[in-house]
Amino acid sequence: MSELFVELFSEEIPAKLQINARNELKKNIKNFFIENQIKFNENFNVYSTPNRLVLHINKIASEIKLNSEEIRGPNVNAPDKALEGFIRSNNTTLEKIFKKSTEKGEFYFFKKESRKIKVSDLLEKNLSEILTKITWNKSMKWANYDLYWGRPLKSILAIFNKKPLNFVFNHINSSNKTFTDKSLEEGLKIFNDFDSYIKFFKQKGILIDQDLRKKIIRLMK
Amino acid sequence: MVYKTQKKTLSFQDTIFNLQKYWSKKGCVILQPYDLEVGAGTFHPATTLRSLGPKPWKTAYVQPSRRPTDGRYGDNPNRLQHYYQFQVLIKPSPKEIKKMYLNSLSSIGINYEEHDIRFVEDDWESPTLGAAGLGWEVWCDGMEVTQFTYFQQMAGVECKPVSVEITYGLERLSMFIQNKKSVFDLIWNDEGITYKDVFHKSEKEFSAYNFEYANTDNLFKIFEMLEEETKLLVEKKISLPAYDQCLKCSHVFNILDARGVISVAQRAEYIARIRELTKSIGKVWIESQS
Repeated sequence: MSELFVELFSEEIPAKLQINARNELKKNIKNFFIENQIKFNENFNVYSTPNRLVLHINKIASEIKLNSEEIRGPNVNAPDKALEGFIRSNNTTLEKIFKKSTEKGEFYFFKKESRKIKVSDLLEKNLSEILTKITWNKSMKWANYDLYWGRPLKSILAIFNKKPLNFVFNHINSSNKTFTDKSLEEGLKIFNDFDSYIKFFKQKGILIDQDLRKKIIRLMK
Repeated sequence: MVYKTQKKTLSFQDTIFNLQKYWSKKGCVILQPYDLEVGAGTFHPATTLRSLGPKPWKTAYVQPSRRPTDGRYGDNPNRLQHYYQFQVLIKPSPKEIKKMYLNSLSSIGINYEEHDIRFVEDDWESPTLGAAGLGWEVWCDGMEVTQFTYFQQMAGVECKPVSVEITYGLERLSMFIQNKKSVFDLIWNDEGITYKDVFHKSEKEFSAYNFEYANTDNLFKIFEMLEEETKLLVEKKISLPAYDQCLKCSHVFNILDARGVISVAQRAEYIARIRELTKSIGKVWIESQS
């Protein structure tokens, strides 16, 4: 079982927008896991500070098994071009295509064998889209970029099973590093798991968990 | 690099000098105040017009800002009808702008590490400029000292690239630095001249003009004349002189507003008229930029 840990570092996001962003990120990632039939611990959390939006999910299956399936292609009476396209899009050859009758007529079919897919590969391929799906109640653009975000997004840290996930989100390349200093954005540090991340920031007096912060503030009153 | 906290308390004028020097080193064109009455540094054409169009631009300047309704005859320690803003505009907004800003505070003796600096949500809109932006007001130990805005729209046009605008309220900042309770007690220079010596009489007299003596019949006529002139210059496609006339319209409107002769419905109508002028000027300006 693996751990997914993503941190989106930005300039100060207002409190209400943080709630909006946490909920959106949670919803989108959950939908992604369900749609792709990836087993995961549904009691996961999304945290935020003004500068950091953090996703942490553990007990995720490291790979998924896709069962073999028969994929229906064009009708046998369709032009040859349709069949050629079907062969190409399934990355196969004519020998592996067979005809089969259905209620709607006779069609070409292709049998896709069962196979295993690494969840890390799926995440690298889809995280950019998952982030794009975040609907902000209010968002902005900055500099020359086309990205809309709550406030300027500066870096993305993404780790799966202690290894960096590499993907590109608009003008930003993900990595295993983040800024340790929110003011001058100078110190960069590598993190390979969520535990070392929260411990490091706790030592610096920063609590990533908003509920914990709330609790402590209430106790101080 | 972090500047060391300076021991000597900065005078009002040294605060300005230091900010000018700091932003000059960051490559900004240091301009002098625009020579017309405006409500804020944003109205200077170096911000309004220069934030439109694709060309990069960096500037910083002091802008006297006139807000007739805010006058208090020099009796209120915090309210003025004429005050100073220090304005920075950079297009496109640089990646390290927050760091640049925090270091600019160090240059005037406010070390960000020794103070509680907060970026508090404050989205900005100017109905007369047809402008909007997202950003923060920056608090230093609980007091607002700066507006920090990423322009999204100006003169009704989407900004591309996006400019960042940093506006320091110089009196407030100085009151914080000098630890003064009244703006009039601010030390202006090292000779002991105070803000009161320089501006108290003018606050008193302009408050009287804005609230009591401004000839409103004439001002209504002047507004019409200026509006007509702006439209004519827009037709001639000379955006800068057109914008000057529009700024004058805006100030005349502000005085009429202070005189209390504009109803709620009229207010919205006048604002819309000024916005239309700004939009048409913005269009001419952008055409001249490509």
